[in-house]
Amino acid sequence: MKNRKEKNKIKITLIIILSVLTLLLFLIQRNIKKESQNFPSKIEIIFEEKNEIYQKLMGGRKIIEEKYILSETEEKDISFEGKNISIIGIDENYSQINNIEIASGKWITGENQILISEKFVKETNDSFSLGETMDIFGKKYKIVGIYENDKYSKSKIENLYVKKEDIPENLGEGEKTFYSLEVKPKDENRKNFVKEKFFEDVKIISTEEQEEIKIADFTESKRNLSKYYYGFIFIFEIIVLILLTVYLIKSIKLNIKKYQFGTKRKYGKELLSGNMTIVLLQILKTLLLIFLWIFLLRLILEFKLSTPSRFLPPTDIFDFKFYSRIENILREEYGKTVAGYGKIYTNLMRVTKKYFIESVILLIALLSVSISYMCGKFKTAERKL
Amino acid sequence: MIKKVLKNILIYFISIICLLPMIIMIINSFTDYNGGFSLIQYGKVLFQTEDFFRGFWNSAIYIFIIIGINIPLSLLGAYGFSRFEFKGKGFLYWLYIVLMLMPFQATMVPQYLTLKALNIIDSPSAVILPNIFSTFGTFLMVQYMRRMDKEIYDAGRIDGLSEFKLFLKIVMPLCRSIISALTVLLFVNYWSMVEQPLVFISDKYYMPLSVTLNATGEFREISFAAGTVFSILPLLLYQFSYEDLTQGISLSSGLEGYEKIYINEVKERRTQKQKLGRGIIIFMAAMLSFTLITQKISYIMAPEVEVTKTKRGEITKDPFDKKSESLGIYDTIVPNSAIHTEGENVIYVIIEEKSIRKRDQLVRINVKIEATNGYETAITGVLPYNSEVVKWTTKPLREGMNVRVVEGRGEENEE
Repeated sequence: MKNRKEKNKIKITLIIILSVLTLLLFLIQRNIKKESQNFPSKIEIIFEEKNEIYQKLMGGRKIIEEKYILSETEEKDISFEGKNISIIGIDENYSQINNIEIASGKWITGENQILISEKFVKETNDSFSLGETMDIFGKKYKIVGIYENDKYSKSKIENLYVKKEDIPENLGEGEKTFYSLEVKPKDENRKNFVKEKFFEDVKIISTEEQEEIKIADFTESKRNLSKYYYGFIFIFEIIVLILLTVYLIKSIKLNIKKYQFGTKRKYGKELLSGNMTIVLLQILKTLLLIFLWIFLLRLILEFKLSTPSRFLPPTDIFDFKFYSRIENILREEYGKTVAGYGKIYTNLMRVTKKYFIESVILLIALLSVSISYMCGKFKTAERKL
Repeated sequence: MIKKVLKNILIYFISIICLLPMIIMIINSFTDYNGGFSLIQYGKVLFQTEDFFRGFWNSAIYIFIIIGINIPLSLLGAYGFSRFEFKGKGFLYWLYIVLMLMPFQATMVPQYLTLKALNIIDSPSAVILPNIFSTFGTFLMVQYMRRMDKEIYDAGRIDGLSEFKLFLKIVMPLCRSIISALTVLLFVNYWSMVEQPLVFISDKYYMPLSVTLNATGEFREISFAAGTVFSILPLLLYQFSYEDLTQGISLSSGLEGYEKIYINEVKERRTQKQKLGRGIIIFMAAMLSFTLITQKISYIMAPEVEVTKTKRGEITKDPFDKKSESLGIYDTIVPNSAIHTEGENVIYVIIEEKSIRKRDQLVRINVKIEATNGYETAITGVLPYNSEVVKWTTKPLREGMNVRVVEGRGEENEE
């Protein structure tokens, strides 16, 4: 008797832990999904100089703009007051492609205006604030807005946005200049092969030239990150299904035993007529559970996780050599550029870590409450016995 | 003494010869393409081969239905033969034996015609229906029931049991051992059936694993591991009902099968049996979860492709200027991205799988390039009519690969 009680105790605690854990994980995933919405779905072509291909692409601007939103930016990385900053000269289309949220002030509208980040304001001990003038290597800018930082980015370089025409010229030694073209399809429903289709639609540069340029493809990132969330829901469904199956089997077994025990004393019909309501309720409950079980099973069977298959091995999913190779490629190709898959995944990890700590604290609190509650219950039950 | 040793050596030698295919299968299942130790075959079978599980569950379902209906029918038939006297009983029993002895090959054509007339050919019922009414079970049970004491029936009668209750409450429990013996025998028989599904079913979707395991090229690289996994269930089931099997068969054949068994031994056997039963359940649950994982993995692993129809017309030297110099008029023009250089120039064309599932599969076609302007290429080759050519893909392609067409058909398959 005591043994069974202890077993039950363990089972109940396990179920509570599991449900609390899944609930918290669910919250984490929801937040990650929310975060993932901010990732822009664009392709970025990066140049170190305005070479022939750049000129060719810009020459065909009209053709590009038929199907795409194009933004031309110029980026200068310099050291300013002991901090690494990058001044990004943007055009009017930039805000349509990237999600930059303004915390206070407004977006750049006129000449010699600058947009700075919240973190930059903090790190310079509030020496810059809205409406003030900022002097960057002799060029004066009026601070018109402060934008919200990417919360989880640990990047030490702060981005300051100015109009493309206002970008300061000679910034002295250590200056690095990049030119990039950011492109986003006008058709929001286009999800696949954006990079490939861009060149087919544009038909300005040849296949050989395409191989020369550096392209960062972000078009699948939003889709992939949201899949993370769906993947979690799938696991949750499986856990519920397993628990439900165990419960169903046990309850059916118990009912059969009860019936067998009952028929030893009474006839079947007698047994039924005496407990009609209980039997009907039991049948109804079991039926509902079975329907729920079927519903869950259908959900699980129909679930389709589509991750980017270009990052999966060609045939064997356990091809670990492929994974290490692709990781190196990602690190080399995307890690150093302005942004890339590498950055997105590290961001994702940071979001997960952040919410994980929050969740662990919550979990401990909830567990302690539930265990103390349960202990109280057991004690009263023991006393009654 | 030497005689004894020699005899033993001979016995072991012969038994090794008998076991050799199995040993070879198991050893080879742990090797990779280079012959070194590897679990790659099991990784592929258990996590990535959707058709393996399709076949496995087909086999399991066929067997479940066949045994589930055949045994009750055999029991009823055998009860009738052993308990009642009626006109034509002898002839009927003789007919049963004749039908049992008739080889399948002899009745294949009439069976096919019957199934065709019933309009169930090419469906699972074509395999299930003829086997449900196989007569072997009845024959075995009659032999067993005839040996039962007639006084039991009378005792039951006196206690007020009806004929059906007599069958249900007295005969059935007594037949437990022969039922499990028959289950194993039928299981082994139908788990390895090849001819019937091959003759009566043409769709791979309904084929049991025993047929697909060696018939399709898909399992060529992983056949040893697939074979090993395929033979686990019969082995488990045999172990599970070993006692009943020997007892049941020896009783029905008229030999004395009872031994003096001590209570401790009975208990031991029972716990062993429970363990084995649990093992079977765990195996099936594991197969279920592997099936689910495989379903998801094969969806992820299928490359996403965009397809396009071939064009007819003129190619100009400059693709952006239609007035530029013409390179000629051609019947088959495809985008440059559709041509893959794998030693020779090839294109991949989508064909529909010849099965109820209708998956999109790839066919590799060698082509000759006639003219190209860097964007569009005119080709010649043996292309199917109105074919869909793969334009872009997320992965390297291979002949026979299942793919997911995400764009190019007018409708978007992706969510």
